[in-house]
Amino acid sequence: MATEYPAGPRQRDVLDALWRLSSSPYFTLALTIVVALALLIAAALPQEPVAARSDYVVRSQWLALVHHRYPTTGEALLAVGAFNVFRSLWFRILVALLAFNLCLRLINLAETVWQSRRSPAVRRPESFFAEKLSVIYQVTGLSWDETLAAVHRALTTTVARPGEEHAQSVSYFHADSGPWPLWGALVLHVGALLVIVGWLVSGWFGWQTEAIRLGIGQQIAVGETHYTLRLDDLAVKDGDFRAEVVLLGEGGEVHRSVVTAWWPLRGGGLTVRGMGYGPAVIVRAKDNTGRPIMLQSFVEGAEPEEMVHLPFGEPGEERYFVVPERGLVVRLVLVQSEDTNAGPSFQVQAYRGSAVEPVLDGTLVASDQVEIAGDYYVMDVGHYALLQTTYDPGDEFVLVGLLLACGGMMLMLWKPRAQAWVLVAAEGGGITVKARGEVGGHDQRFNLLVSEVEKALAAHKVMGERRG
Amino acid sequence: MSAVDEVIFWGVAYTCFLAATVAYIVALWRGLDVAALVGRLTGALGAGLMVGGLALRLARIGRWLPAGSGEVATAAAVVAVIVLLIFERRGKLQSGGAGVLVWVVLLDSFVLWSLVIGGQGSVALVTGRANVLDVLRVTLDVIACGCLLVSGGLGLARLIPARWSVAGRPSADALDVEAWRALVWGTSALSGRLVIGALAVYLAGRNLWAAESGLLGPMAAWVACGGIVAVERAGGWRATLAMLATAAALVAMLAGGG
Repeated sequence: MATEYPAGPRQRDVLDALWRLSSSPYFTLALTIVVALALLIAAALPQEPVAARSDYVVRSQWLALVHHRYPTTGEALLAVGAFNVFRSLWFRILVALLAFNLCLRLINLAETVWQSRRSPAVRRPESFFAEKLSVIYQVTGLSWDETLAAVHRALTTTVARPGEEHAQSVSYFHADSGPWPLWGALVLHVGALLVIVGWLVSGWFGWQTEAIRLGIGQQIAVGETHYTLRLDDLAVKDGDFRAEVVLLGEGGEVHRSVVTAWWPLRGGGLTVRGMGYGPAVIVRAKDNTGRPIMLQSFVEGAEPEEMVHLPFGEPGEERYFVVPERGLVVRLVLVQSEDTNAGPSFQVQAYRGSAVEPVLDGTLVASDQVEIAGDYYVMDVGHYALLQTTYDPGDEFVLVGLLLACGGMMLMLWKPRAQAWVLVAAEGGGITVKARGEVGGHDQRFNLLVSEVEKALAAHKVMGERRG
Repeated sequence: MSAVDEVIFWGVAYTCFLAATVAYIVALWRGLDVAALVGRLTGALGAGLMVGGLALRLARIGRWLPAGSGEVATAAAVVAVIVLLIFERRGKLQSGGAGVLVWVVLLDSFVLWSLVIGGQGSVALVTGRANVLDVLRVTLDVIACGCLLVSGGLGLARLIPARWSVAGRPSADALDVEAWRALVWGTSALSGRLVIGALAVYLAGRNLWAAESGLLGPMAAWVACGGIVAVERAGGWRATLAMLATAAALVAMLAGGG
């Protein structure tokens, strides 16, 4: 099969030049370096919490923190978006440019793959062999057939997959190392684009709730979904925790799973992650006849109930509940313990009406029953789980994209592409062999090919010309 | 056992690395084989002492897996020296390792500042919680940083202007070939680390794009490597390019906690 080649270089226009510039590997390098810098900034500097975008209190706390930590540079860093890299305009433009560059390179690659499959460029003009990485021999000791066989053997040994075309007194050979490097590059580009798509999807559709403190038996509605989260059990041991969490939908239980610091609950498109746990006190009360007394916590929207759940965070935090029918207010304070291995302890004070002096002032170190003004208050010292619900449909794209990109990168690195062309011509009673290689500058395969050809031909290098 | 133990080891190792750097530079400048040999020996001794110090530290703390930027940097410096010595045995680097030693000394300075002077740079890690993914992640982190350090170091040696009269100058081709080889190993380890890290973060239900995921730093280094590979495929490879990946990997490791 003969291959047609264009007579000369194609006329270039502005669009052509723009295409070349935008798909240039140096443009890729420049963009990747700036993206790498941006990622390093995002890794090194604290990024604005999601809640700060909608909650002014959180935002002002965040700004105060920034000014406290970066008193001299804080304003400048805020102005350039260094504390909000992934949502800054410059980063989006940068990613858009990188995606554009990757798309163009992907098209170029697809074209190369298509061409390499359809018509391997076996036949090359003489001028092709006058460029770099080429070598020319004058063979005198071998017949025509022996020379062709030797060239074929050398190409098979060093590069693989030789193809050949024969014309009158001229034979052309082409060999390349196989499709893997090209496929690797294709997969790498597709993977990188998938990561970008995943990042965009996460940014557009993803959301997460604030950390929710949930005691055993408690449940809470998840954001604006129709799901409800319930904690059925919580076991704490050696600083680790296992929370049995149930995701409830309109029709009942959707999913149930044990959540740990390393294993979330996944169901209904949501991910419920265990962020930690903390001490809590669960209070129930009854009078001296055993009748339950209604209690009410100070949480917004709380109603009188038979049980209140009081979660605590840092030592010194205080929680209140009221006993409406007794006119009592009970205050609990988490006390800092000197013994880090000891469980949490609480100071408990109860006040009646507007009296300044408490009717009860004591310490609670374990679950206990406390008598206040003739009623009995059962105070169970336990824990709450700190849970966070996220919805991120982009995660899977990012994960698959990273897998593809890293796999493609490995193929490219470990199976680099090498091509070689050889022209064998009968000239003036002798045989001339011209070889040309296309390999990376550090790739030794062309040198290997040259030595193999020399060995096979036992050539007399009359012209001894070698470039590259 | 007191904290002085590893300090002594690392202090002597630092001195060894400094001596090795000077010896390599002398070998590079004057072409003295003896100086290159001294450089190799003191470098190897320094690496051995770093390993000893790290082992003592981990035994004292009660862990077996390096954690935090300081400990990972220690292990990466050791890997860099080992990789350099291997490359020197099989390649034609002559005294091109001078650049690598410069990076190693810089990294070791950080280790001393972080773990000894600052007393920080280490994240407590309960031994029982270090699963297979953690072990793989840290191992690949260390290999990636060590190899990229070598690649960037050879790139540094490639920067020596041609007009300077340097008797022990290695050929630019040799530096390019070996720097590429180190970059290939480093990028491969980084790719594995990125995939494992992403998988662990995803399985734990955490945000892949949050700094706490520990993915942004390696991703930055990997992205820089990707750009360099693109240029290499186009035939524009120079060892000096590797310095970009090295710088990104070092910043990622030091800022991101390893």
